[in-house]
Order: sequence, then structure tokens, then C-alpha cells
Amino acid sequence: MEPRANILIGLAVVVMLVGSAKAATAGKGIGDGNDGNRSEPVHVITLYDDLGNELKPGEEFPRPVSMKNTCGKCHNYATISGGWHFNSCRVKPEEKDGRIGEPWVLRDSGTRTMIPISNRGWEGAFRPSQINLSSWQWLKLFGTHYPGGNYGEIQVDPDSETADPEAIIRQPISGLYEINCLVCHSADGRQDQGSPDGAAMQVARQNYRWVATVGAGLGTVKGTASAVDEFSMPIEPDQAALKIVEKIKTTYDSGKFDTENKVFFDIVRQPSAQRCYFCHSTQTQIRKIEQVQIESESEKKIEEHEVELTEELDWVSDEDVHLASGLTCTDCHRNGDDHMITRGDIEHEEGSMGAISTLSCRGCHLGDETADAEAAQKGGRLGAPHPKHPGIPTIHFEELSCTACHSGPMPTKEPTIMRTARIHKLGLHGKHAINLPLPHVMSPVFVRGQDHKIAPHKMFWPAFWGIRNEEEFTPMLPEDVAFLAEEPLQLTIQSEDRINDWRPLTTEQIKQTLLAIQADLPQPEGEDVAVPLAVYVAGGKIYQLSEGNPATENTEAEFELVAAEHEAIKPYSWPIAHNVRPATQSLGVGGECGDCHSTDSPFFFGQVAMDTPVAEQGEEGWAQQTETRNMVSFQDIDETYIGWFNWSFVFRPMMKETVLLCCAVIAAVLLLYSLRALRCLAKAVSDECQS
Amino acid sequence: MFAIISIWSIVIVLGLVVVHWFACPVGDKRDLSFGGLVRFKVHVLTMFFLGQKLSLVGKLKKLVYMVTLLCFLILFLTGFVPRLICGVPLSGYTLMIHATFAPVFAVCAMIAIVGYAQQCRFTREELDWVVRLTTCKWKGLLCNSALGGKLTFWLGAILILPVALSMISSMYPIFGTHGQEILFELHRYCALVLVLVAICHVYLVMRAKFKVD
Repeated sequence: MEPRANILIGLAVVVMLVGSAKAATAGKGIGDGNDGNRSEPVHVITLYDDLGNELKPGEEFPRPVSMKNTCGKCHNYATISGGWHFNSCRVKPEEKDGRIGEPWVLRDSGTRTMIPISNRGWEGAFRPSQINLSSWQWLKLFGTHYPGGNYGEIQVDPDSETADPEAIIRQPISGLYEINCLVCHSADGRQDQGSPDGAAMQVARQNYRWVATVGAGLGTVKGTASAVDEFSMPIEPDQAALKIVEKIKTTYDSGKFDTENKVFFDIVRQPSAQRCYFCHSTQTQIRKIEQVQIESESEKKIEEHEVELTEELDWVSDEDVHLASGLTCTDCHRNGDDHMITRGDIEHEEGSMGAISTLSCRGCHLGDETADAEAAQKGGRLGAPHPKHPGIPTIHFEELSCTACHSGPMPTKEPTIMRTARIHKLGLHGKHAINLPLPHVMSPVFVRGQDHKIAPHKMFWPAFWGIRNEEEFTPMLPEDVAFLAEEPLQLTIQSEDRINDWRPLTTEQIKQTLLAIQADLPQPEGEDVAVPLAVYVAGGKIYQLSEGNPATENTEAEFELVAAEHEAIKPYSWPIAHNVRPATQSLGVGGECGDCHSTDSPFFFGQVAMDTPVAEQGEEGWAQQTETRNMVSFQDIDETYIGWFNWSFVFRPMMKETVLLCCAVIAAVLLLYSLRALRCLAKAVSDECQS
Repeated sequence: MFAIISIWSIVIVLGLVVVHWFACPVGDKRDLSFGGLVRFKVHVLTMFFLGQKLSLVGKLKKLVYMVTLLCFLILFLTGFVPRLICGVPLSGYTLMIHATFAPVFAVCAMIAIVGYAQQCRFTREELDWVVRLTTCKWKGLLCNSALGGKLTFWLGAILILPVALSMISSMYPIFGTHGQEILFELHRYCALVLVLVAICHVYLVMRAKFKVD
């Protein structure tokens, strides 16, 4: 080869290296961002295991694929892991809480516990640390509907005093639950989250290291990490790493690998709605009503009794109007490399004024006047129609969110009971399918939200045993309660008694349980320190023992159970935006003020049940002690006022007609005297001319 | 902006009324003693009574006129005070009171306009006043004329229409959001002008009444 040619080749190599290095700078992987070409890059890629080695499927004991090491070759994993889906554990305190959203719910039917959990500092939710829930326990509870990362990647520190002992032992076996990019970005119909052979089953087996491999259908996994005896594992980490893949054996589908051991992944930038649905589905529960004819001497009447909740038929329900018209979730819920997916709020602080702020209902349909770009000011992105809202006074746009009239199920006298994928673990099929009716999530409940606008919310009433320190309530983990109060809660008895899906809980049981918990509470040192009180919270009420302390002076008989409402005990609610109904099904459409402004409108006077397991057994069976609240009580509106105001709408048509009639008469008088004046003027001019 | 315009315009009109009252006294001499002021107030008060000399129709007309003024005062207080004094939009119980008295005002205003239209029609005297104005014969021009009272009557009658119709039409599904905003602006600015006209009208009517008495 000519020396000159060698120089040219050398230069070309240098240029290429510099180019690729430039692409990878500024915190970006070479696969991040885009070069302007809108086609999807084809992903025929080499897979890497969790040790960073190239994956060879033909080995006797191959290791499972690691998304962190495989995708992380070209994409900045650290940046991605700061996105909304992966940052709730708040490893970085500077990350934002975001507006209130759906919590994780720690449920236990035996102890009658429903605790909303989130580490985002949302009002009403408890942080895992508040209830001593370790990241390991968190993963066990909620890992089935989870894209990985976050709590799954918190490496337990064996030297830490606060480390969960179980996690210290089990995490080396189960491995870390890395971000599974394919949960969202795989367009392959084989991506399996919920079947018995899918990712969720691996989570149930604590096979966190293997979740992505099985979920993507790359191979099968035999073995259960939770069943592996920790004492059978070698102490040396290297040997343990080898031993574990022998005990939990991965067999790859050789047909997926080409001759160079590369695999084609059908990856898309914009995941389809099907991918989102696994964790973000909701299901409507229908109340089955039984009509009972009651005859007495004086009258015959028919009473309606709710007998059970049953699922709404899928094929008669409609999906969100946006999806029906051809959009998909990611058309509005977009993100950059940081995976901070837009949540439908006006998010100016995110930068790029207009481009992002118009990814909201208002911005997309009406535009954002404050946006930099003219197109963003005009609105109508993706062909969004400009709503006219005829006959809707503008005060409604200050007081209500768009979703108030347009989203969720149509409001009914009693809110619909819903189940959500994450809370009720929907989407798990086959032998690990579970039917969880609790908690009773009600929707739509119209609540004044953080932005001071009334919006439809999902809502449920937390229930938990806990400790009250003056005005602060701290829930207890169900297993701690069960340990202390197995007998009063009858946890060893298999009872089929159910009252509105709950195992009924009598006030006597509450009292006995509280006594058991109270007796175990540490006594404060010093006279000025308040004595912590055992409490049970359910249905918006606190149940606690009357004055005294069973651990010291009082006898059991001296205590009484006291139930009271407390302003710190509120239902947990979060705003909903979907499904958006067609415009013709909006509230107030066609000038129908009565949709909300009537004396019995569900919007204000819907009955929100304060769901509770507390019940008493009478002659006719169990009777749940459920109270109800008017929806207006969650809207910071005076109930009496809105009653009067809505009542005035009864006379509204008459008032409009009366005023119109008056205006017509006044206009007639004006016209009459104008004509008379004109006549006088004409006469005067005429007389002048004649003279 | 609206609040500033409202406050300034009301202050200016009230100021003009006071200036006019002192510049063009009704009687030959003004009694500013304590007794005189008491008599003045009693006189003003008696204007709101139904005179014994009035016929039944006259009594009814005056009664309706008084109710119209009362309703208008309530509408003014509920409509303007929250915005001007408290800086908050009309809402809550105030809104309910406003909406309750609005149709009553419309009905009373209609009856009053029908009842007083004939009395308030323009006559030869008003034409003479215009002639005096145009021929520079201005002595006593601003002191001795019923034109102001009549003019404000008809202006009020005209202004009631946009004030009422702007709100009523917004209750029908005709106008969109932008239209609603325009109607609302129209309502409050027309209402402001109506308030100014009403202040002048009441002053001029009372002045005329003083003159008669």
C-alpha cells in the first residue's frame, strides 16, 4: 500500500474516532439523541450479561441478559434512570416529586390494611422509610408491575445497621432488578409481562436477574431464587455468581441468535399503547343490584340492594377518544433522553417553551399564548380541534380542569368502583392470576387538586394500624400487627365472612388489637413527652383507646374504644385524565347546566362511601359501618351555598325568558319614541319649508 | 384596569355633581347652617315617600321607580364592590344576590320606562335649550333645564339593553369562550356607564324635585 494511502486511512480512522467520541460526549450515549433520520434504527445487537461479558447462548450455564450492560453500550443508562419511571425511590434528592399520582398500595386482607405508599412526598402517601419498608420488601410487594431500576437497583449494604437482613442474604441470589428497557420499547408481540411464563412470574420467584431474559422471550428459566438455600451458596462472590446460574438455569432460544450471537430486537422510540397498558390499565366494576319487594300492611315497595361487584364487559366499553382517533399514549406523553415523560401539565420549567407546554389538553387544543413558537401559540397540534365551549361561562375554566367535564366515567350518584393494574395487579394470567377487589378505588370523585382546580380523581380510604404521636400518624407493617395481634384479628381462622369484600372487623376486635399493640409500644422517657397511642385508621376515622396506658396502670376493662374523625386522616386521591370521552358526552355540552348545577347532581352531591372493614354482626348478618360524604366536601366549597346556587338554576330558564321579555318591551318603547321623535323632526322640517 | 377606570370615573362624576350642585344652586340662597342641613336631609328623605297628592297609578309608578333604584343599588354594590374594594371577582353568595336582583331590576326598569317614557319625551323646551346652546346664550344654561334628567333617562333605557342582553345571551349555547369574554367585558363596561348615568339621573331628578318643592 502506498504511504499516502496509509496516511489517508489513518486520518479517516482518527476522524471516525473523534466523531464517535463527540457523539458520546455531554452525557449522551452514541445511541442517544438523533441524527435527523426519522426511521427507526435496526437493533441487531450483541447481548451482554450482568458481569459485562458477551453473552454466548451455547454455553452450558449461560447467564441472563443484562439490559444495563446491553442497552447501556449505546445509551446513557444513568440519564435514563433519572426518568419518572425509575426515580421514585429518590436516590437523588434533587429530583422532583411531580404532581400527585397513583400510589403503590400495601394491602393485607388479614390485618385489614390498605396503605398508600410513595417516596415522592405526595400528600396522604407514606414513604417506605416511614413504615420500615425496605427496598427489598418493596420489590417483593410491587415488582410485578414494574419496569425495573429504581428500588430494584438499590444495592444492599451488608455493613449498614439499617440494612434489611433478608435483603443481605437474598439479593446476591436474586440479583438486581435492572431497568428492563424492553417493557416499553419492544414492539415484539412476544414481550411477555403477565403470563405464567413471563416477567411477572420471575418477579414472584425473586428471579430479578432473569426478568428481562424471560420477558423478551429470549429463553426459558428453570429455578426459583426464593427457594435457593442461601447456605448452599459459596461465600466467594465469584464462585457464588457461577453457582447461581447453575441453580437457576437459563436456556436460550437459539433461533433468536444469528451466527455472530447477535439478536434482533424490534425496538421503537415511541412505545405502543399496548406496552403502557400493562401498568396503566383501569377496569370498571359494575354494581350488581338486586331488587327486593317488601310488602307491609300499608304499602308495597321495592328496595334495591347491591349484591356484588363484577367487571364491566370489555367489548362494550370504549377506549379513550384520542386513541380511538389514531393517537397513541406517547403522542402526548413524550420524553427526551432523560425519560422525564410529560404528564399533561403545563411544564414551562422543562424548557423549550411551547414545544412542551402544548403537550397538555389546553396547550394542544387551545395553544399556549406564552409560548415562543407561533405554531405553539395557535395550538391544534396533531390536528387537535379548537373547542368553542358555547354557553360555558369563563369562570368554569378558572375553577375546573379540562378533565372535569371530559374525562373518566360519567359521574353517577355513587362513584364507580375501579381497579387499576398496579394496585390490583391486573394482567397476571394463568396460575398466578389473582382477583383483588380491595381497595375500593372510587372514580370519578371531583376533588379540588393541587392546582386549585376541581378535577376528577380516583380515591380510596386508607386503612391501617399505626402509632399516633400527637398529630402524627405512622402506619405499622401488616406483619408486625399480625405478630402482635394474631388472636384478636383471627388470622389463623379461615373465615369466608365478607362484608363489601372486606373481612369484617368488629369494634371489640379493634379494641383487643389496640390493647395488644399499645402494650408493646415503648414508653417515652420524661413526663413532658407524649405517650404514643396505638390507633386504627379506617373509613376516615381513628379508633383509639380512651385515656390510659395498658402497659402500666390500667386494666383492660377500664378502656373504651373511641372513634373520631381527624383532619389528618383523609382519603388518598389522585387526578385522572383518561379515558377522555367524546365531546358529545362532556358535562355541560349543549348548554346543559343541569349536568352539574342541579339539586342532586353527582358532580356536587355524589355520595362518596367512606369504605371501612368495621362492621357489627346482627341478626340479619354483618352490617358495615359505612358513612358517606357529599362530593362537594372535597371541593372547598360551602355545601349550603352550592345547594342554594344549584337550586337557583330551577328558575334560570324563567329568569332568562323574563329578562328577554323586559328587554323586548324596553326596545319597543325606545323604538316607538324614536319613531315619534323622527315624526316630530320631519314635521318641524316640513313646517319650516312651508313657511 | 377595569377597577381603576371604574373608581376614577365614579369619582369624577360624583365630583362633577358636587361642583354642579354648588355652582348652580336650586334656590336663591343656600342654607349651610345646622338646621338647614337637617332640613335638607329631611327633604331628601321625603322624596322617597309616596306623596298623598299622587294618583294610584302615580303612586305605583313611583313605587316601581324606587324599587328599580333599590335593585340597581344592590346590583351596583354586589357587582362592583367585590372587584373594586376586595379585588376579587363576583362569586359566592354575592353572585347569587346579584343574579337574584337582576331580573327584578329588569322587570321594574321595564315598567318604569314604560311609565315615565311619556313624561320624559323631548319637547319644545329641550329644543330651545339646544338653540340657546348653539347661539351662545349660555346664562343659566346648566341650571334650569329638564334636559339632563330626560337625557339620562333615555340613556339609561338604552344601556339596560346591552347590560342585560350581554349576560342573558351568554347563558345560551351561542357564544364560545372568546365570545363569552367579550360579553362579560361588554356587560361590566356598559354597567359602569349605566352607573354613571344613573348617578347623574338621580341627581338631576332630585334637583328638579327640589325646584318644584
